[in-house]
Amino acid sequence: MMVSLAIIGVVMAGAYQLFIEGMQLFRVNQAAGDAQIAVTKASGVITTELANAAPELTRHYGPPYVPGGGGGGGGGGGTPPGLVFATPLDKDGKVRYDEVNGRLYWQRYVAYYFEPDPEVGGYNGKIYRAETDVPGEPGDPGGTGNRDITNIVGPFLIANSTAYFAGLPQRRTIANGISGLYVQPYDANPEFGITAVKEAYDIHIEAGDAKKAFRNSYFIRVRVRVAPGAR
Amino acid sequence: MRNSRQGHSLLEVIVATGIFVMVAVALAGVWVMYGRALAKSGEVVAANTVARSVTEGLSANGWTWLKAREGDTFPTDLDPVTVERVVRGRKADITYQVSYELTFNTGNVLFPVSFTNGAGEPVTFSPDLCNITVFVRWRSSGGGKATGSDDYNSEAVYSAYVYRHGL
Repeated sequence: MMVSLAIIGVVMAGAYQLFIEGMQLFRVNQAAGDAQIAVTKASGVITTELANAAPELTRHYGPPYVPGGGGGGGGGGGTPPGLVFATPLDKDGKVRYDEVNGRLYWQRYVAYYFEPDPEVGGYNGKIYRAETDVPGEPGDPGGTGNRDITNIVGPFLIANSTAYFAGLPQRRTIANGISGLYVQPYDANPEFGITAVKEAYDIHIEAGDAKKAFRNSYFIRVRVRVAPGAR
Repeated sequence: MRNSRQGHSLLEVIVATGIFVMVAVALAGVWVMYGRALAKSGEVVAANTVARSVTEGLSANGWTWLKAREGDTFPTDLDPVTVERVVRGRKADITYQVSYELTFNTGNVLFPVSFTNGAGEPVTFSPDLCNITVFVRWRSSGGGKATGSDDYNSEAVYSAYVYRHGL
């Protein structure tokens, strides 16, 4: 009887430990899955849309990424980190161009920006997308978009940062569980010893628990590089 | 007749315990497999991101830079790329070995199949086309056999065509 109870006790203790470890593994896996989805979704959406933009009509905000900086950054007060650019695609994904000289009509101003988790130590920040229409041309009633980069589209992008778009009434959540977003121009010099001919951006996206505040947490940081209007 | 108050023998307890332990360990193995599969998928996602990013960087360097590499020996290694990852408070970074290969369309090598136009004349494509292929290799925590002598057991490949006047 005593021997049987001892064996069962040992087995139950082992089973309990196994169960606890299993639950922890499950939670880590769940956190990893969420983080990977968030990073994949955010990077895919941003790079796909940015590839249709023009380098001269793209502006970025926020501090640069510092290797070994500890992560969980890019947020804070002031201008939200992110990108603002003009896109030639309308809401249906169609492009309009001048049939005489091929110049594009810029249809919409688009912004992707990051808002950190308001909770201290939390990592449920969000990447939002907001947009507003480019005003049409005066001599083009009913037409959409504007070809005037010098006087209309360019100056608007210089004057309005991500903060302007964060104040717009309508925005769409692109990804949850984001802990940092950094956007900076691609610097070809360290690796290739040259200045890149084409302007490109390095976008660092962090998802998960960058501060290692929670025991069963997961964190990943990936860098995506995209050249607006690349090909 | 068997005494109804007899209970279980020690042997029965040990056998039952053994079966229980085997089932529990087998079930725990499912969790581990799930974790490995998820880790592997994360590595593949990051590898594809690295490969695509390197391709974008190479094309951003411009046609002149690409063309100057024409005589190089490929694949050419680049600096390794480390993707930072933390699992349960411990660093679990993934280091990717990155290399690239450039193939220019000299002598129509990129299009070995012959094309003809409406008049039946052979069509050759511009020599100002370049195929950029980026190879990203790493040692996966998900296991798997090494593909070469350097112990890398996983690889992602990304390929893109660039045109001189499109850059």
